[in-house]
Amino acid sequence: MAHEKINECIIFTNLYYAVEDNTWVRVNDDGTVTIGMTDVAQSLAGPILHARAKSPGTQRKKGRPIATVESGKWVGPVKSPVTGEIVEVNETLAKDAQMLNRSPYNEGWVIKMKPANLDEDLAGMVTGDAAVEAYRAKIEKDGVTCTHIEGSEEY
Amino acid sequence: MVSYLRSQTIYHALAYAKEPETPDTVVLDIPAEPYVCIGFHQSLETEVDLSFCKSQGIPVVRRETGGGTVYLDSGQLFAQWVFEPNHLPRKIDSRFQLFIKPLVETYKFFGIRAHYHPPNDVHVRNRKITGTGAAAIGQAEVVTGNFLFDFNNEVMAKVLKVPDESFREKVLDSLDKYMATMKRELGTLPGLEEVKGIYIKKCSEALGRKLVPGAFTDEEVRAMERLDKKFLTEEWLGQYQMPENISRRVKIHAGVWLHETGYETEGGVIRMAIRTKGNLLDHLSITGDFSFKPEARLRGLEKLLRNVELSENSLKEAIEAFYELHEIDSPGIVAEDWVKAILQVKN
Repeated sequence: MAHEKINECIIFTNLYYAVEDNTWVRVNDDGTVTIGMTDVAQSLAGPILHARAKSPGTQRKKGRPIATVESGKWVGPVKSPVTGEIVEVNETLAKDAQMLNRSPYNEGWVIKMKPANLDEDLAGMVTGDAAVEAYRAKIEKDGVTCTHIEGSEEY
Repeated sequence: MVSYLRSQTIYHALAYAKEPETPDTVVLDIPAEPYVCIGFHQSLETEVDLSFCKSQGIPVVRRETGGGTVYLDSGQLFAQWVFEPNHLPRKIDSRFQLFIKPLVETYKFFGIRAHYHPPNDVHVRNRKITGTGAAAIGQAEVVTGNFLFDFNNEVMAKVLKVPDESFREKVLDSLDKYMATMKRELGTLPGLEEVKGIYIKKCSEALGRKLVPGAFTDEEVRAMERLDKKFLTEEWLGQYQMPENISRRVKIHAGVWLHETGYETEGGVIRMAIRTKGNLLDHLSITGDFSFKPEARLRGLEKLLRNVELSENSLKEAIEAFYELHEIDSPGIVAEDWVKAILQVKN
């Protein structure tokens, strides 16, 4: 899959990004979307010890938490980039939260959602070259260099 | 001095009520009553000896910051920062470093040779004197920590849920060995007002900004009242259950953990209380229903493994040599079983 590397941070060009909240969206063939944390988010947080997603059936508005993660002793939300209903959560994360660090774009996905206003929500996000440029600016502004724990996916 | 509940709900409320124009806030408070505080993702039933707390009238509160179970009382001064996210370093470890700087500088002012112990503690002579926690709450980033004037290790050991009393003794022993307080370091308690004054000065220096006294807004007070109710509900306290596959462990400080493990072998169940320090096995007690001859050598095995690296090769090499030297006979248990039993602590 096409990707770019900026200060060791991986950005896939086929995903949509809510850059400020550091989340990504993958549009699936069945009309659902998969949501996760970006490589930048996992790097800023450091090794994640706990991850708890909201239950399937939960309705979430864009910007509201769909999960909480804890790294070291910091707890923070994963904010939903789209409005909709949670239809599936990644059960692996409850037992192995560091999957978020090792594979933020694949096995470390957080939830799947049935979106309510997908076109509108995606219009407020960036993808492709625009996503790469948005992250380049953010990474440079914040002085971020991504770090990857042992066992991380390699690109 | 505030109620035990307010020592938690004030900073949470300031975060939830935060507006873009709200100034960054540093809160200093002391709980009037003792209580137990569990981390956001912890399981109440797994972590806390609820019958002991109930019998002693010690309430339990779940906070929204991370970290483990702590016993808190009026021997501690809490420092709680509620900041605009962009006013703190983005990287969590850098954020803790900034928060810890004025704590360390204040301890040093009083003659305590404290230093930052990564990732987020303050140590003095290899003992922990301050722990911290952090969270993104509402539109704010929160970082919390404390000055440990005095601490009751015995009550701390009693409020934790442990598998048996012998494990509790090991918790107490570890707290005695690895915790420091201002009283222990100085032989006397420094003045509270003086500590607060120096801390505010050191905060101002670390942040490069002047700190001025402030008052709560009406919205902040309303948020406190809402949270006072929410934090006492069973729904809030009882949320989150620990996955069953995680063995019991108690954090003494960053890098030092006490684990209770069970491992089934063909020869019986090996039960161990293991204290780890970084990547070393610091202390070990073995019990179980297996056969080990000569029996007296079991204590020797415990001693042998102290300070051995927690790696398959190091443990296996040491145990195999011990078995050969002392002609150990443990039917159904081979060196590899011991290695696997011990390395469960790394899961």
